[in-house]
Amino acid sequence: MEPIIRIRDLHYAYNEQKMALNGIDLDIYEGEKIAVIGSNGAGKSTFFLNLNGVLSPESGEIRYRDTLITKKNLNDLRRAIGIVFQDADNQIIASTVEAEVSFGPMNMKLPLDEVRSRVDEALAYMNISTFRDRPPHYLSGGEKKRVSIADIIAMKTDIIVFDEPTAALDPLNAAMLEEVLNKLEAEGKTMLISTHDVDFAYRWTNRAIVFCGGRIIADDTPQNVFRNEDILNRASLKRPTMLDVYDILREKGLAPDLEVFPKTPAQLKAILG
Amino acid sequence: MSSKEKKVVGFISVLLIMVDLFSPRAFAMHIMEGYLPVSHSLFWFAVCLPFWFMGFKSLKKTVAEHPKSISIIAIAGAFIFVISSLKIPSVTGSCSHMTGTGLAAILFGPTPVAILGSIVLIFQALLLAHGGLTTLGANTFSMCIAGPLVSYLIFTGLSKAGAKKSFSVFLAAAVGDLFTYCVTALQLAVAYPAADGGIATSIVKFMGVFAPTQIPLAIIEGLLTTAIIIGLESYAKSELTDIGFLGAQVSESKGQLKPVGGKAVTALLIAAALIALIPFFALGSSAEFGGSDDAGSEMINEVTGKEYEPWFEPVLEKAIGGELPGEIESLFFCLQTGIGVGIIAYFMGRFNERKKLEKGGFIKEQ
Amino acid sequence: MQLGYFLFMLALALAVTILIRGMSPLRAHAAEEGHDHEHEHEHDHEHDRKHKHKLGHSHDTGVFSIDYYAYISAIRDWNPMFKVFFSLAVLIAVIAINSLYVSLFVLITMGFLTVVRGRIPLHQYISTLTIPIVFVLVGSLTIALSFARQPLGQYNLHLGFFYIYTSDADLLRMVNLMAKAMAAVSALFMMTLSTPSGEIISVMRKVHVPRLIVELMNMIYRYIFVIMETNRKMHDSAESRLGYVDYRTSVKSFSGTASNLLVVSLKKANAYYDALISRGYNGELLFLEREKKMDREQTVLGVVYFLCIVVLFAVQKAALFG
Repeated sequence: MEPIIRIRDLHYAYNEQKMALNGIDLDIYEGEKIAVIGSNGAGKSTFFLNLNGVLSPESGEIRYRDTLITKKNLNDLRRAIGIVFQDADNQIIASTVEAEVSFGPMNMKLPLDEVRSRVDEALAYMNISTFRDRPPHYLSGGEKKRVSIADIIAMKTDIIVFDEPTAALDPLNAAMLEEVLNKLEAEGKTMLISTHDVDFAYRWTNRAIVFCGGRIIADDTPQNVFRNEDILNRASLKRPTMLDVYDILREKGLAPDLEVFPKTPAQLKAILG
Repeated sequence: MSSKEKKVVGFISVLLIMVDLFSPRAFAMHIMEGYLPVSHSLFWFAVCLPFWFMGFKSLKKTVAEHPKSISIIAIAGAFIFVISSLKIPSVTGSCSHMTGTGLAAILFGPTPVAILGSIVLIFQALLLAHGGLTTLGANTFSMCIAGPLVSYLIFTGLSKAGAKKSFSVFLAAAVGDLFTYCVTALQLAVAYPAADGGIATSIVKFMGVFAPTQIPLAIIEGLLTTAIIIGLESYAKSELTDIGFLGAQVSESKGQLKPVGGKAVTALLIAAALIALIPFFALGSSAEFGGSDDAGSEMINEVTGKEYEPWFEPVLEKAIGGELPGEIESLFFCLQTGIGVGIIAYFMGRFNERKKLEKGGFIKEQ
Repeated sequence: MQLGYFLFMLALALAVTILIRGMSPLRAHAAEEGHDHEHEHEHDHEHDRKHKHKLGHSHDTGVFSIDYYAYISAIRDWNPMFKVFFSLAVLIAVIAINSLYVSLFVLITMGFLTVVRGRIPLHQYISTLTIPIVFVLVGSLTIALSFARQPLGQYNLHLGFFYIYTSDADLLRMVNLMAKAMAAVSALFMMTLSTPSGEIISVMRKVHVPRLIVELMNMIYRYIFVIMETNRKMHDSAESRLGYVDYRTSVKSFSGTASNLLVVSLKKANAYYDALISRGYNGELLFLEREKKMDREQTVLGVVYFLCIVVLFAVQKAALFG
């Protein structure tokens, strides 16, 4: 299968001193759920902004569905990759929810009927149809987050990037977000999620990429990545709780040795019989 | 003196003093909605036109060259609005607010403040019920053009002369505020000249009445602006330059910027104002003054001994079958004055802009 | 006797001043009250409005009351172009005609339109109306009074070496001016208390205000709330650390917050721009706008209203000459 995104030798620097991306090579396949992990300043956000064409790399190439992306077809890249930024307040620009969700589709120059139906769909998808006429500055944090996601959904991009989506959300809203991610997965979207929540990465994603100092130091299943002591140390990562628990149970002989580890308490219960 | 007289005048005076001195909030002097006659509103709008045009051109150029700057300009505008809506700490407990335009002039230069300031004024009228839409022209001229220009000139002038930064900022902000207050008093006085004493008396009245709030406010704003600028200088310089913000104004003020164009414009403005206003003062208590055509017809009368007969009727009067009503006539008169001023100022502005072209846009990016 | 009169006047003046102070709508534009409207607005609009009447003070309207009421007004759904043009036309008419009857008519009817038809709470409307009242009083009273060396007026007060005086004509002029100003303000409020700023800006776009200006206004409107929120957080944080314990400290905290606010805001501006282009922004903010129809009620209102004004004007002119 051909990768939907192919990145070769990507370099990016903010200024002379700071080399933010030091040669990134990556293949992303359609339908993957990728966790992008790394400490602050490791280069995750810079990577996303390069991916979407907001920042122009110093060198290297990005191919979308085997087409090389240049300055001329940046807009095609933006129709394919949508970024939901960490701080919804940094993204919402319109004065009503409806106008905000229409922003992406309007920029894609779609016919007005199409825009209207997409907006209705996206609002319903995120369960915010009743907020249509409300101004964003009177919404709560979780509601604003839903609005910022709705806008990207309305753009119907193939790939959606979430930059630390659960950072400011309470457990209720975080659970709601995971529901949305599941819905998107069912639709076959490719998702990249940058997160500090190792438990979430371990449980939900099927591929983990670890950034450190502008480079990718690990690219494997979460199970393999989190068992690699060296990687965890270099990237200052904790082990997911479920992994520790499973290891302890295996040591004590209380749980069987499996190829695929249990990622959730429910799965653990199942294998304990 | 009858007691009725005393009662009436005394009551009004005491009320005035009470409201003035103990007013719960002290804003800068935005002329409120409905306070200026239509002709005056239009006149001040016309006066602003060339400045708006210049500011607009400058902003357009900056955004065309650096598309990202539109976001920065917008945040600057929002910042000015927010600053002007914050309650500043006050000893008396009353609610006072900064204008923010002095700060803006020092940070961003006077050209964009004309446009940004007007947008801020519009939002103040819409969101805070402060100022008005018909008085937008007058308020823009006093608060976003005259005041900031003075602030900017004082700041750069003093900095060039090597004065201490905090001193130049303080004086620039405070005097800018005071100048705004004087211009507003002038605008009100011109619109409502006193029956005896004309505009001169009126100016004194308005300045006097607003002095208790405006003069302390100007000083406080001077102090606060200084504190803010010094704060920015000392611990935010690197952040500001990192972002690509205008470091020039804040850190390079010691000598590089020569406001030649600005000075010329101001001088011409002052000259124009004097030419316009001296006759009012010269004629003293009589507010009446005849135009040159009246004087002409009198002359003819004297010379020929006959009444002056006009040769033709103005087209407009013919069309409506009578004389123009007084208000409308003065409206046209003021419009024409405004347009004339506008055209002259436009060419002045063009000339000034060409001089400023080498300085580049108002935002320097890394 | 004279002392009695003076004391009486003093007391009356004090009463008026206190009344104004009491009605001071600090809440209407108080950033320092600034509120965590996150919690307030979790629930439904309808629910919100009922809450308002129960609570009886307007703390929970968020940062700017006028903006808040613009969104919940019952006439929000009227065609925005109609509202803007109508209110501006009335505003200009009031100023140009300069007649006491017209001013009073406009003041009452516009208030009616906003409060009864628009269902803005009356106490909120009056509170907002008092915002410009200081200027009205100070400005108009100044116009009424004059000073000179001689008692020139109809009513004179001798104060040492000069006189303050006024006359019936001056007093009438003053009352006329006050009515005109308040009427103009009420006409403006009809628009601002029923039309969200975003819609007003879209009307500006439709009348071909330069694109750059419209862009800036849209952005500035949104940014204002973002910066207000940031400021509120900074203020709360400073306050909880005794940042406003006395005057000197308050000045330091205020200016420190302000400079920090500028830096943080500039950073946000960059972040915003990134978010904009990553969604395909290329110089023009395009949003979907709802078509709001001009219904019969609005057309009838427009026509009838102006007929009334013309009639009133004619009546007054006739009364003056007859």
